[in-house]
Amino acid sequence: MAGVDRMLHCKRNVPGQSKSAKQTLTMVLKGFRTSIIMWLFYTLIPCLLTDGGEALPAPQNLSVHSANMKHLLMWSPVVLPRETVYYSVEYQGEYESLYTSHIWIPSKWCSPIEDAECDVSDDITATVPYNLRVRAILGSQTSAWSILEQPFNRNSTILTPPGMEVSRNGFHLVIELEDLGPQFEFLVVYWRRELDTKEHAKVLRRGGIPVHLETMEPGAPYCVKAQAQVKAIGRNSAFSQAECVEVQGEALPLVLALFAFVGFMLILVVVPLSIWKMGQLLQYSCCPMVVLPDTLKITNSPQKLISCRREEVDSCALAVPSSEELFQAWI
Amino acid sequence: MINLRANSAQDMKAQCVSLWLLGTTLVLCSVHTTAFRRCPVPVDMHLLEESFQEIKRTVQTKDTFQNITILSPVETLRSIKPVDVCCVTKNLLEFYMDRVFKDHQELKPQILRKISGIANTFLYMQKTLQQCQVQRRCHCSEEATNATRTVHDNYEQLEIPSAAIKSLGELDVFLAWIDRNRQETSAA
Repeated sequence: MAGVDRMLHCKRNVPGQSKSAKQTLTMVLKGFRTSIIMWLFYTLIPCLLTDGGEALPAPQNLSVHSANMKHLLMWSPVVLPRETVYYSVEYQGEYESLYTSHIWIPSKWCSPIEDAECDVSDDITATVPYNLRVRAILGSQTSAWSILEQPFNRNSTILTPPGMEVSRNGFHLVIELEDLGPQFEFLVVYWRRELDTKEHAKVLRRGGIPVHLETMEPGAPYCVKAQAQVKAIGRNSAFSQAECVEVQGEALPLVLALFAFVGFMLILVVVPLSIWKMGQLLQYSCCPMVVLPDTLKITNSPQKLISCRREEVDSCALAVPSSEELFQAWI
Repeated sequence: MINLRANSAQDMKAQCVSLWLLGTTLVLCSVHTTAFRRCPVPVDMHLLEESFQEIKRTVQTKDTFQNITILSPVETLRSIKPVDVCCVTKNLLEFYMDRVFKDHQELKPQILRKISGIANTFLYMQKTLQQCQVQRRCHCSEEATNATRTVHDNYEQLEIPSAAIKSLGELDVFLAWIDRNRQETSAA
């Protein structure tokens, strides 16, 4: 504006110098054009840098929670209204950070992932410090990388006493430990309580399978405890709480079985006998079979006897009455 | 009588001294041999072998020089004496970490992950061997140094990408050798 004023002022005051006025006018116009270009440039740079909108914030508060060789990388989620934000995780072992520091490897399960956490157990495969980094993705936008502050070494994992189920299968002492994966071995220690005998130890290569420890004897109970061991990091967990089981004495069941057998045999013999006897009793009481003794049996008829008495002894007429007359006489 | 007694006393002394010498020699020998043999390297062989199996086919099919070997099993590795095992293992681990893994440019993420697993495990083994070296349990003889140089010379005969691929393909030879030495050390 000042340049234009000066130009007009020059025109009014010095009409003779038209050529220099023309030159001045050209210069002023050029300066004007340059300043417009510069203004446009300065206003557009921020727009170009921010890619046409607000920058996607990087995830914050990265941390690793590790227990029993399962390593979980967690971070604060990037929350945008009505948008689903994805995340991408990359890692770098100590080898890469020392020898090829520009190489970052995408995580096996989390490139990309929707949750604000990632199981990096399959990525962290050596007992060295690992660098981990996360960034947010929204469509074609990506945030800056957020790196875990302290590199994570899997030998810092928390090892808990293994879950244990001790049971009795008849006289067999059986244990089943929880399955913690192929990197775990278990040391199982068992002993007899109150008997002061030495402890036995057994190494189990995998959990999740019932294993027979010992054939038990009655008397004192058997107690078992177990410890998880991870050779890859050279560390063991604490021992679990001892669990005890007991078997009952052998003598009692045998005696019971003997009695049961004897009783059964008795029943087999006694019951038919008593039935038979009862049957006989019933027969006697309701339908008895009467047999006259020999002395009471009449071989001669009573009429004959009477007629023999009445008449002369010599001639005894044998008159055999009918059976009816006989029966009536008898009654 | 007195002379006899003096003689017997001298005999006793001589016996004592010889016994003491024998005992000391035995103790020194055992210390000497244990010092050379005891450098156990904790190694997750299962993971290493599994990782290699997954990349084996891809890597070995890319190897176009079938007639050349870098880790020649017959000439180089089998001839290593037990006393040189620690040194040669350390040197070969360095060879793989300094040259092979760095020279090989891998683009496929699944292969890259497996190679990274092997490389980082090698790094962990190397740290243990370095401790043995500090405790003077990992002495490098001339034979060990020569064996290492043979491997490096074989590697340099090929162009870098081919040499790296070939050495990656020969990892099973190296791993089998490590496993055999580890079993022999634990059996001893």
